[in-house]
Amino acid sequence: MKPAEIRNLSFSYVEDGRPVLTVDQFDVEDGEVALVVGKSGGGKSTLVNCINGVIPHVFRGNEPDAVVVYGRRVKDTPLPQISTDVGTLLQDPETQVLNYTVEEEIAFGPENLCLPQQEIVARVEEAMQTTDITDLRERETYLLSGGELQRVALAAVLSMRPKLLIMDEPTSNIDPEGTARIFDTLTKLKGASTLLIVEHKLERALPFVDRVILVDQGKVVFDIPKAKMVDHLDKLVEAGIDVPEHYMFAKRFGMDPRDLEGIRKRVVSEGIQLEIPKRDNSGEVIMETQVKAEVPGKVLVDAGITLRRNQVLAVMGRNGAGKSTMLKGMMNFLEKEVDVEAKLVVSGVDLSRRPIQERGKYIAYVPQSFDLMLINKTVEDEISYSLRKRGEKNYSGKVDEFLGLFSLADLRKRDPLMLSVGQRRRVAMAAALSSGVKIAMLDEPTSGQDYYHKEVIGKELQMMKAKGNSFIIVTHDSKFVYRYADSVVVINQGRKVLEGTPEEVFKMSERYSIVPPTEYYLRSPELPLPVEAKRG
Amino acid sequence: MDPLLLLGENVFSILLFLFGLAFPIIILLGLIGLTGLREVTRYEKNDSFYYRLNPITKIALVITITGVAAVTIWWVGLLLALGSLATYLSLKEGKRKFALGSFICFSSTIGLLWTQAPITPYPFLQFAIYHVCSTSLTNITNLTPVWTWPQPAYSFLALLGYQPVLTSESLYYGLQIAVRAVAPTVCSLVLIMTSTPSDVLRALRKVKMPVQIIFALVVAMRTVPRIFDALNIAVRVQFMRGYGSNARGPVRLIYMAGAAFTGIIPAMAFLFRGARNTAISADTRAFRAFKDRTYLKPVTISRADYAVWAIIVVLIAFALFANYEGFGRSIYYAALGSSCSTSPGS
Repeated sequence: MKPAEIRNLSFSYVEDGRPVLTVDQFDVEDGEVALVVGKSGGGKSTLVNCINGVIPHVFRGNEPDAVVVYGRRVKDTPLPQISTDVGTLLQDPETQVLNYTVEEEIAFGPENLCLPQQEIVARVEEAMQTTDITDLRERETYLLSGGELQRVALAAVLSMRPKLLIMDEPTSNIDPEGTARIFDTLTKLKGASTLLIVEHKLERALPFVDRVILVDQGKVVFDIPKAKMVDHLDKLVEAGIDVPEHYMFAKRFGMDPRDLEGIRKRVVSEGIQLEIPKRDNSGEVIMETQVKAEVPGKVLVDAGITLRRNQVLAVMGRNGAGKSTMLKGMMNFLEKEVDVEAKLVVSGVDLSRRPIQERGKYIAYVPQSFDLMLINKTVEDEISYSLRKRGEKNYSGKVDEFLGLFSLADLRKRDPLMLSVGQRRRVAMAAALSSGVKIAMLDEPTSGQDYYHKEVIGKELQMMKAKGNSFIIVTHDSKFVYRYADSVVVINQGRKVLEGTPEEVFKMSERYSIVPPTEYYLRSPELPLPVEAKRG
Repeated sequence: MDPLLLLGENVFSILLFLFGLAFPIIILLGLIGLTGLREVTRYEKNDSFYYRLNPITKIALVITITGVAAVTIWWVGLLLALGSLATYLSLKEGKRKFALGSFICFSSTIGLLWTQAPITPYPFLQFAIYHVCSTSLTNITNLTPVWTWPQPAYSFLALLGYQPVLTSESLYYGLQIAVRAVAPTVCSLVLIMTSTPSDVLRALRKVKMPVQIIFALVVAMRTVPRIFDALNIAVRVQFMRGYGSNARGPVRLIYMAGAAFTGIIPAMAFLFRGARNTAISADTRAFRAFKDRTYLKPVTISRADYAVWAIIVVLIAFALFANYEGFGRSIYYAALGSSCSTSPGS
């Protein structure tokens, strides 16, 4: 029996009626590792949800007849029954973890399977060892970092011993170190389980997979062995997938894309001039800050940053390094229990002792969970909110300007919470900047976003930078930083350990788990390749 | 009447009205804060007395305290609330939990008292406190006026059900109602702070509670602390965007309450999106695959449980005794009702 067989599927959600996924034939073979790629909203999550039974058992649809998993028709098999064969790891570890202790979370599945106690103990132990989290056994889940929590979520799925493991963007919300640990676990699982991975990080996932499937606009565009992927790069680019630049050169030179060293030598020998992102760190200093935040017995952060006009400053570091704490300390967002000493001077005005409202006149803040900003009934009300609250009278022109800048004009009367993720993020960004502040802090703006949407964010930053804005962005995404940041600060254990242009920082950033993107190495042929890049 | 005096009385009346509304909010947001609320609605690992108890024992204790407080004289409820509160000192970070619990007790008492006192009809107070039957809605014989709501403030307050005169008996009656409600609240929080969802799940399955109801409880236990996290961000972002720009001091707390109110919708939308994932995560891990479950750690009954069950028996016996001796509530009112029916119009 095959892990999954789909024949003549045309799936549409009940409330919509339009087909969102059409598949003539799709099989998953036993023991293989398949990678599903595609833009957000293209249908890749729908594809895996048809296999794991979430469709039709959670999301109702029209024609789920066509899907068979391990010989059982998904439509006729209750979801809990399907889950005895098919495990699913979701994108956001926060929302998929139910229990307060790690051990209880991992035992949850085997307990549901009515296994004897000794068997549950054995499976919990095995799953913790596979995911390398035995040291977390007694910890409370809400105290774990995103990366640790995702490994706990993975262990909780593995303890079910699924024959087919589906991973739906498992590393979208976690830092590079956490991502590396998840992929380390995948290495252990390869050969032992059948894996179906949905992942934006094509370059990162490719070494582990046998087969690549591109899903776009509700169709399987191609389904090919990995070795043939180089021949289909154009289709990936067309579909808005983040294809590593050296893959394109590999195709051009007829080389193996894993041979990054050879490719960059060839680029040099061919005399190809690669465009290097421009950095602008010449503006005057508009913000200086120093934040010390501590709880009894522990300094959470003790670091400062200097921001210049028209600058995009990236703050990087491991999960828990103190990046977000520093931002929150600047804005007086930290909880009362945290002892904060913050110096904040913006354009010569000392805001250190001013309340949040005062700081908000100079600085905007967009949290990672940007939905929490959206409190108005229409998009235009959301964008005018700050202007109205600060007593501005003639704001309609400004609202129109921001609706236009962020491509929201057609949505002006819509309820912000009813929009798509990308649209909601744009509303939040426009709402934050419309009050006329010149500094914006963005907490993990690229987290969970696909390549297309990351590029949209990057373009927005460039556009607003040209209008005189400066940005501080907390991110794990080194490729985004390389493309769009002027300067980088690396925080480690609460201290600033590196500062400079992306080129300067990436020379030494690996010791802090920040892996430079391959396009940086492609433009720096004199630098030795790190282990990660050598993996290809 | 002196127009200035009338104006002063009206202003004071509005302040009294706002006091009942604002004071609990000021305590909740100013002294407890959203962080504090998160702390008292979230499990933290520890091994002191409460943490070792079987959740069924804790649930039984909550139900017993609720019942005893409901059927006995008001000060029994007060004693139970204070007793339960004192046990917070045995929790992890006990002193802080005790302080937070005290603030919750205080704000709930004031809030409930002020909700009940101004609207309780006079005949009800005369029945309950002086055992006098009256059918007149305006007769305040036997009652002690504390404050007469002046016009035009009263024309607005009457729409909210306010009686024309605030009496000391109505405040006393409001206090009785409040302390009866506070005792179960304090005790319920102990259950939430000392039990994991998994504990509750296996304990309730043991008593054959339907799995759908248990799952709703489990998700709620996991979600409630997150609500406060999400609200915390929603409130601060609104302030940053200019909400309450000119507010200072305690007035800022009123704005904070307003921001929390406005932030509820995006916070809930954010959490509901997450709750869908939680449900998928449970269902794709064979939740409800079989009628029953087995457990990593079996449900045990310890000596501590026996001790609490003994306390439960004593509390029930005490409630019966108190009612028998005239310190109950249910028999008392029933008796009043019957005596009234025999003397209409008195």
